[in-house]
Amino acid sequence: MKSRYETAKNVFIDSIDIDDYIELNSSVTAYQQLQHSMGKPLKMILLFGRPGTGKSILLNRIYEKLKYQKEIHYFDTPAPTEKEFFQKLFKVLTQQDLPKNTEVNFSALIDFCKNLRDKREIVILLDEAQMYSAEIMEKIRLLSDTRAVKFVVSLHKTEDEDLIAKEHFKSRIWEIIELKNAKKEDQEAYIHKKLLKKNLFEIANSIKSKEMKLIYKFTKGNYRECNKLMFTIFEICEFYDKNEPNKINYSHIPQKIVEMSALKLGYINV
Amino acid sequence: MYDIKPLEEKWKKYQLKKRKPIYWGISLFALFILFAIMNFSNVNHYIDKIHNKSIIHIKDNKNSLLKNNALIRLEIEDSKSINDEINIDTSSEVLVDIPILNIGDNINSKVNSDTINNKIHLDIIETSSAKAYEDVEKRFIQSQDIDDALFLAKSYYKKHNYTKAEYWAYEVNKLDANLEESLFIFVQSKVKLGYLPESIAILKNYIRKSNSEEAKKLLNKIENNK
Repeated sequence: MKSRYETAKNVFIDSIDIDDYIELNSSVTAYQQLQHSMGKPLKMILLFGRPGTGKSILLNRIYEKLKYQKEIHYFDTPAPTEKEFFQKLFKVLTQQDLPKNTEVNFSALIDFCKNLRDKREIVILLDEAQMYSAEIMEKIRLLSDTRAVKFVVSLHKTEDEDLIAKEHFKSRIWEIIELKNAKKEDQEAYIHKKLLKKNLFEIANSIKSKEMKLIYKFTKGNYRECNKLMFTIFEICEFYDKNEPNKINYSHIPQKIVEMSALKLGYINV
Repeated sequence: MYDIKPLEEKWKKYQLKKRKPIYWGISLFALFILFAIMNFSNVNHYIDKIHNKSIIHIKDNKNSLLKNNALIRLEIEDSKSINDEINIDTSSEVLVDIPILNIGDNINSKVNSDTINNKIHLDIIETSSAKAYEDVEKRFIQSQDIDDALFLAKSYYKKHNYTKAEYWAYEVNKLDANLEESLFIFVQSKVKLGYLPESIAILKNYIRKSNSEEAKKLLNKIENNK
């Protein structure tokens, strides 16, 4: 028999699926800000934030929303080599496949883009841009200078690299949108909405305010960490539900299970 | 599904770790309370000791009252000599009023400042401690304080130790031949020791010199008892 917690657990599998997108006050603001920036005559837009702050899902959402209105392309994973990246870009710009055993002539590509100015307005969403080499980034910058292609670059960096990243793009981009971890209220709404979206009202209601605070304490409002913790919480609940149902209170997920999950994920230690 | 047991064990350990500061806090608080109680009872004990058990009157020219701990260093008029500092065993806790001889109502000893340089203004009222007498005797050797000798004479007489009473009365007399009180103790001790004729002779000799009414009364009393 399927446990009620199995569905709840699967709700928190980390994904950038647009169906999993939860509209929160903070995410609505970021979305509107990005959409507004894309409307401006900017060459590059930097979407910046720590891992798990919702950059990818935001890019995905904007792609899904605007794909029928604009010529927009989403590069979700970086190409492993420069050659492959430009093959992919060539296809997007020329709408043709690159013939076999040929390479993109970058100068010719620049000229091609210059010819596109005022004819087409192409937006390319580059996720995980921190994985591109400096050479590729420089070429992306040159392409954006043609004003025919607009790049939205999503970056996540460690604390030490934040400034380096900002410095590198400072002269080349006109707008930075920074995504931050959720506030406590936002995270609480995020968890509830996720569960309610799958009609798991009782389970959503079984997470009380005290446990919500604890979840926030452990995850610090990071959506990815929150997903991980919630997944583990429901995984443990599922275990008890199947094997030792006397140990679980269906109306209230206890602090013990939250702490056990945090121990399992290493947020706290013995 | 993973095994939940190790995770439960880990959680129990975490609970212990989490509560450790609370346990420490409670322990420290309990210790603090215990310490406070002990301290309070000590203070109470000390106050009781001061008020009820060990009052010692230290007499100076102004008849001031000092408490037991003041005996550690008794006040001395002249601080020229090292003998000024006299240690008294404060462990003698029981010091109460001395009802002395009937002779003379004034229990305070008068000190002849001309003859004694290092005067201890002490009026020990009563003590049941033998060690206290020894201490006063030792002190007298150093201080030659007439008050000490007179105290010993009176005390021994009261305790029916007439030999010692006679000795200490004689010591007083050596320091002040005109002090009637010591002479009377000396005479009465001799009477008690069976030297009646000698006692009467001493007393008559004194009456001749001083014409003391008190001496006459005592002589009369001794003779009548005879």
